[in-house]
Amino acid sequence: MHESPNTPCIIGEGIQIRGTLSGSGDLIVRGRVEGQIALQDHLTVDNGGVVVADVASRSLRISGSISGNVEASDSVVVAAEAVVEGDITTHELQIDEGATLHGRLNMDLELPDGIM
Amino acid sequence: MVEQSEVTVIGETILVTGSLRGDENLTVLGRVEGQVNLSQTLLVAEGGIVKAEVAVHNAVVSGIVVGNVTAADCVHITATGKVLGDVRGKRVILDTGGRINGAIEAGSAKRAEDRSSQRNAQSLQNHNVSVVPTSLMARRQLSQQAARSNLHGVSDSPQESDPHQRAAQEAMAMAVKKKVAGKKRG
Amino acid sequence: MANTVIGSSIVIDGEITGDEDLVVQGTVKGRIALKESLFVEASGVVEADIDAQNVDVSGRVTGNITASDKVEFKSDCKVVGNVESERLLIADGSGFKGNVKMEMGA
Repeated sequence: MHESPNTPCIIGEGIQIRGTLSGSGDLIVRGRVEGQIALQDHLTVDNGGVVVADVASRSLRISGSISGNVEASDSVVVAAEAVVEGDITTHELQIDEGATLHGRLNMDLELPDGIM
Repeated sequence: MVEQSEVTVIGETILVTGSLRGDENLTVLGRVEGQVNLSQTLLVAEGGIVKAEVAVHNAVVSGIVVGNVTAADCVHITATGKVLGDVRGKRVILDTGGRINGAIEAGSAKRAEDRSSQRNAQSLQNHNVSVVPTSLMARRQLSQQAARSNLHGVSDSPQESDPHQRAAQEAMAMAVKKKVAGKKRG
Repeated sequence: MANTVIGSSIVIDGEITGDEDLVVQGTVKGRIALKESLFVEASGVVEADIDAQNVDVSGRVTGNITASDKVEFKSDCKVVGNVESERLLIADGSGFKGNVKMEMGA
């Protein structure tokens, strides 16, 4: 996980945001965000957090719910309590037992010659 | 000579093309092309290649699968595993390093509802432990409930049957019977 | 070397090829071509033409057998098909229906 100089921005449980969120630094969502998220660093959607948005970030950890497409230039972790509806495009992905997913996974697959 | 083995192993130099089905675990060290249907576990070892439609109870992929993988229970793609195709399972586990390129369906769609009904079922279950059926109505309810959970038991395979699910099903059955009983009275 | 065993509940409809020994305890329909030995055990059912170095049958084979070295029918086996090999052993109790062609050394 990339350590940013800024303390993470936390969107608390009782907060709802509708619109476009962008910037550098880490973001933790415990409330609800609808719209679009574009981050240079790490997004955490905590258990209970709801994101209804397309997300672009460096890395991502989902324990809550995401409805939207996710693009992470580095890595994504989908934790056990997560619910993801949408596509995930990334390089490193971890899906823990118990996670609910519905969508597409787009990862680079290097298949040896002679497979197809 | 060769002892009876519980696990079917497709060795490194073996190529099987066609349809492969069975009721036991299968380990692929070589190559299988076509169709794989197992009521047990498919293990694609590192170096193993499966170019097939896979329908199994569980799948553990440490090698390469080109094709759709559908598991009644769990699909586990390990750090060396790669799947080019759709992955569907009640549970899907992807270890860091593993790769999937395709659609994914993991967990159940009604997960949030299940969780709350499970919590209700657990509290009902705890309550029922002390209840002794004396009335005819209660006995009828319990036998109908038992019959209903048996019906569910037949369609689920024994390995999948999970105490939480059974509790939830029994709670649902109880609730339905209570509703019916209530209507009859009224 | 890895031992390839097709277990008793497995049914393969297709072709098996390879460079190692193969043990069949289940059912194979189609074709088997190996560079090493094929063992059809008592529970094995093979409905296929077989091409291997050695073929050892204790179960059932319906199909033609071609072996570069040896074919052995064990007691209680049932084989329907032609056999072509250098050496052939048929144990007492085997059931066999087919033609045999053996290379007659000079």
